[in-house]
Amino acid sequence: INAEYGCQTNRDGDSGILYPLNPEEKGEDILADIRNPFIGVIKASDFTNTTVKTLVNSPLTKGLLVLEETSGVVSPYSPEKSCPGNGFNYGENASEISQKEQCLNDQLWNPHGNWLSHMDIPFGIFIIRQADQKAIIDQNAKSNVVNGSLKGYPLWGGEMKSFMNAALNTPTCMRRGTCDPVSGLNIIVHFTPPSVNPKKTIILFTVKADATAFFKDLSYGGEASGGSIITLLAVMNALSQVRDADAANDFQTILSSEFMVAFLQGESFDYSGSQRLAYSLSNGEFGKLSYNITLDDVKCVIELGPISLSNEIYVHSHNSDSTVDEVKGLFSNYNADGAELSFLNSSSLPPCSFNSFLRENENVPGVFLTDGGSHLFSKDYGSRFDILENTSNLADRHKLLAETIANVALQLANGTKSESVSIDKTFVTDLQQCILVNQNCSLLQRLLNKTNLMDERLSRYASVGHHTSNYSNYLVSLVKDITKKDLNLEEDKCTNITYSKGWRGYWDNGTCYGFIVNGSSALSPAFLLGDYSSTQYSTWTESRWSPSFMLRVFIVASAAENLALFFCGVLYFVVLSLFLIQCHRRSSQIFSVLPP
Amino acid sequence: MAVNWLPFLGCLSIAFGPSVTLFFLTAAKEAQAVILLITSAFFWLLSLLLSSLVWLAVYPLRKHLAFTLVFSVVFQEAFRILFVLLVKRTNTALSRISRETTDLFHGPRYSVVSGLGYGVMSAMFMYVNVLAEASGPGTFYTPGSPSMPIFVSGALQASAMTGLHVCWSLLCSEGVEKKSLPLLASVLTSHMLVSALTLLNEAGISPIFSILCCYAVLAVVGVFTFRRFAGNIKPFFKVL
Repeated sequence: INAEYGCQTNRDGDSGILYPLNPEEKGEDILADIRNPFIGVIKASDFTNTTVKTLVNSPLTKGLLVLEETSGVVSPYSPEKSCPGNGFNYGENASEISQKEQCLNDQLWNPHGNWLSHMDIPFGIFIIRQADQKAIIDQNAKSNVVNGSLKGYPLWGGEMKSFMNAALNTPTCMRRGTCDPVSGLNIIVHFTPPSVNPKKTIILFTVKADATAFFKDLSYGGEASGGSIITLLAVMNALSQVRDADAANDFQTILSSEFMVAFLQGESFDYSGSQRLAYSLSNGEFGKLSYNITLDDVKCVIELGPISLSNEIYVHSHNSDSTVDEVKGLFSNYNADGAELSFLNSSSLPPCSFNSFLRENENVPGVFLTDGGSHLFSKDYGSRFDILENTSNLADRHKLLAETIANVALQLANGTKSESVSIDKTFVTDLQQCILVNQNCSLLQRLLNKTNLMDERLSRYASVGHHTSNYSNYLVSLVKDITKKDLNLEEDKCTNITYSKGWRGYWDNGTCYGFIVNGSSALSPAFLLGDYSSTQYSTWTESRWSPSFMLRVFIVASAAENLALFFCGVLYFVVLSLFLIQCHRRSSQIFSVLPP
Repeated sequence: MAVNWLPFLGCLSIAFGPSVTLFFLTAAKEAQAVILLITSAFFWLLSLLLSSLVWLAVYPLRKHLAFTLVFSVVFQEAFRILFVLLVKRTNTALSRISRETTDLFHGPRYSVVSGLGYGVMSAMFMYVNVLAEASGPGTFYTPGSPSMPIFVSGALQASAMTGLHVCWSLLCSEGVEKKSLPLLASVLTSHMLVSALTLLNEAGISPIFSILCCYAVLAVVGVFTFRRFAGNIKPFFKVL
């Protein structure tokens, strides 16, 4: 558990000849006739953990270049653990893990997991995605090999630099100051100011907001968390509509519970955000500045997990108490004949953020919704290939699921069957465009008032240290817009706390809107408590690195050639020096007649 | 640091080795000679500054190396002549204030020293960037010479140019003394010839050709200087 994962080169870079690796042809012996330091060149489909392990075991490996497949997808492929959250799920104790790939739970939630993202690799690995760069590297690497073996010098070689300042493990690294803990902000949203007197129970929606991949910048996590974020945002849209629909029947008086939403950050790293949220809630530290909510106030936690690949949604829970049974019953009501979605009950709790709440208080009721029963439905968990196809079917599924969840939540909150909610499908497709396809989408452009957002798919790698990832900012803008309420105040009273009564007001084009969106630190309790080798809380840190990543390709001369150059150089120097010395010694005699 | 020492030291030896020996033989023992060497190097830098200002000014012709090359050579030779004149003036002034009865910078040795200063500076500017790459992991062949890396061809060129600069300084000071215009013109012509030959490298012809020409010119100019100074070759072969 206390170890270093990832890859890095030496401080000044590593170099070697480019050598194409063909595991298909050569099987185990991909490094059979390598005798010089090399940088391997491999296709993405061959980038497996057996290949990487072979490379790690050879001291001649100086780097690896992965050429992305032109079709773009390799499946199944999951570089994550086969048992996600190993050691931090309910009932597990991380101190019992004695070997690297040992799962405490025999039921593997992610059976395709090959642990690649959790290996300690002593060389750099770059992925090359641009067609022209791929062509150059592939061509040069192949030209080094004739009939299956290396040809003679000169050969094509390369140099890679990607140095990380990490040191051994978290305690050492934090002591040296070269690491930053996984942190960021959990985004907490309320639909109405939390009532203080009398206090109401809370129905807490949670979702994992971050994602991960072997190559950090490609953390797309479509099924892993993208689909669930979209669904939860749609649920929030539905609940806001209900809240705003009937102003006379104040939302707050009708319902017996209040809704709270938490977008959890850092979940990919042993549930850092949810551990912190559960810790703050159970210690009475949560929201202590404005309102006080504890874990005892939580009526039920509803967590949305990966839900976008199947029409069968499993409602998992650990404990079975009256609230959990009620929730499962409410979902089962939607299993009518011919219904699009079907809800199945399960009495085991897979790896998910809810485990962190149970670890603080095992009596908290909660359910975890996902499309997998005994294991993840997705075969690409934690990989760059976890991209959901942006189809109309997907939008329908998300819309229907969000409506069902919103309905269930409303019934749970006031015990009577309320009117059905309806979500605008274009809203769902807009969200899909932003979160799954390209962050430079019309919805975000409108909310952020910018037209020059990054023109690429959104990568949701966790925030580290003091830096807040831009997906967090996007989520904040989205939830503010979705849950905003018209406060009916004049401009001068809009931002005044006494008038806005718990809402944070802002003036937009003639209307005073209010929202209740806060960020609460997602820093793991281990860092609060100063216990950097904790086995109870997540202790993930990321090493500092300098942004001087470099890859260059050039011709390499043989060692013999260099040696010859050296000796010839020295010879030239010595011969000429002797000539000059002799001239100098005899100069008085050579030039006996000096010019006047 | 993963420095590739072997090619680096080899090329360093070729480019600057003989210059170092010559330095120790002629200039090291005398402070004023060292000062002369450094001042001479500075004058080469001034000529380079002027060349670069003209290059900057004439925007449309920046990409044409040939144009830059021509007036760079002219400036280098002009500054060489200026330097010789400067030394002459200094000689007279210094001899008045020093206790020596003869001129301070008297004799061809000082011409060698100033030529060395010019040559070393020129070689450095020409070659040091390439040398830095020689210490890296890769090598570099030009299309014209698939077997000789540019580190080696650059070093050989630098070495030959240093030798040429020494000879040219000797001839130049002779020319100024004897007020012989043909001598000065021959210096300018041979410099222009050698520099123009390097332009062939751009066209894909092997750099070995221009290097050989460079050494040939060095041999010719060397022999010519030797004769000019009425040298007698026989004592050279007395080893002991």
